[in-house]
Amino acid sequence: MTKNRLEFLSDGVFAIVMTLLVVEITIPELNEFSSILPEMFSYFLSFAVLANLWTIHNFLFSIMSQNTTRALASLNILLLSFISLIPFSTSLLGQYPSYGVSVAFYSIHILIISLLSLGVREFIYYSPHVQNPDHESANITSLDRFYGTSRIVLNVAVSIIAVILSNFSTVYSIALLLVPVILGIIPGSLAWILKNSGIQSLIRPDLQQ
Amino acid sequence: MKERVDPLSDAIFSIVMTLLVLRIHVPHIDTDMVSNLALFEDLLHLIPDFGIYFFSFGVLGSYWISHNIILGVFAKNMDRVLVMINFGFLCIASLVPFSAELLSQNFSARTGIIVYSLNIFLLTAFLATLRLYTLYSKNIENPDIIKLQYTQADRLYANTRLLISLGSTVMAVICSFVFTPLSFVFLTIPVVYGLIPGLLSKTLKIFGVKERSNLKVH
Repeated sequence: MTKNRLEFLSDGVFAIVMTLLVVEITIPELNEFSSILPEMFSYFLSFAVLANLWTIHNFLFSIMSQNTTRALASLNILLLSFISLIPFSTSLLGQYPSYGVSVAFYSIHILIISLLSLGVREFIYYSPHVQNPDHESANITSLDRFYGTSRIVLNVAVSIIAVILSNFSTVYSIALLLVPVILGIIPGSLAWILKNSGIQSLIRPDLQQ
Repeated sequence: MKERVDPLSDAIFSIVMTLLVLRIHVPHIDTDMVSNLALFEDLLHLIPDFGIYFFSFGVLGSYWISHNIILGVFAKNMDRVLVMINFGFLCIASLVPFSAELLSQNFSARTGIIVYSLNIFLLTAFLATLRLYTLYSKNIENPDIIKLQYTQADRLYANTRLLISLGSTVMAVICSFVFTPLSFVFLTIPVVYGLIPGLLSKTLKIFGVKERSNLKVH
């Protein structure tokens, strides 16, 4: 298996999924532009979600793994099959934004993708056949790994709460989904919060510098 | 040529895989009829569509992995013949969304199953041609097979994988005349073997075939 081609395929899927999101937005009547605001919102939300997933994918497959095995390629296909389903959930959320079912569907979708990323991460770190880079030469510190893990765990936790919350209030549920997305697209924000809130010293006191 | 054929094939595969999602339509409910329950019921009706989506994604994924091993690892260069065989393979792969839609429109109809099986059969046939041409053509340079530790046993594994796919698609067509659910079982077999690493060696072990070497290409 060549790693190059696995990256090409994944980037291709990401690129096309991101582009397909716009296809789902309906063209509004001239003076009814407000009717597509939910669709515009879900477009931007999903684009940001995909941007975050891409950076996670890039970290796991291009930085943390030095080679590819058949098993890792299959896991990647599984992950991509859910990523490529995002345009459907986006469209569902955009067309029925105030219904719990569509918000729950979207949240469960994010949850599955987050859990799969977690699984892929564990596989890359602990499979004897996948080589990880030498930490010093690749400039990856334990701190980087800690932040990477926190990002995925935050995604898992938030989407679980969002699923439950969607039964009661779709607005709060969507607002909650935005948290990891915003923390993801502002580089360094998650690290800043973890450091200054004391969570980092609580979970990993050995990482204090 | 090789440095352009590989990315081109990957691009086609990624587009075909992603296009599968367009075949699943968001339920359309009239404004005065919308409720959580109506939405939920309409989503439940989409379960077969989702099933076919993931299945087709798995088919394309497993054939992409095989393509990756044959062209990415074995073929060190390309000639016009190999490029044309590859385009034939890509042409059949791009038909998968069509067959998937046909299957999801009439789930139990024979036509859908036959077209889908034929699609996988042709895909396997092209893959086999790609593999045979790459390994045995004088124009294509292969890496040092001894260095890759590509043994007779590995050859047997690759051949078995292709024969399983060809055989099970033929069986799926035959079963569609008798009992359609069995067709789906047969269609699943090549995908399961393609995507679960190590399953083939476990199966072959039962038949007394010796363990494969620790192949570098995998």
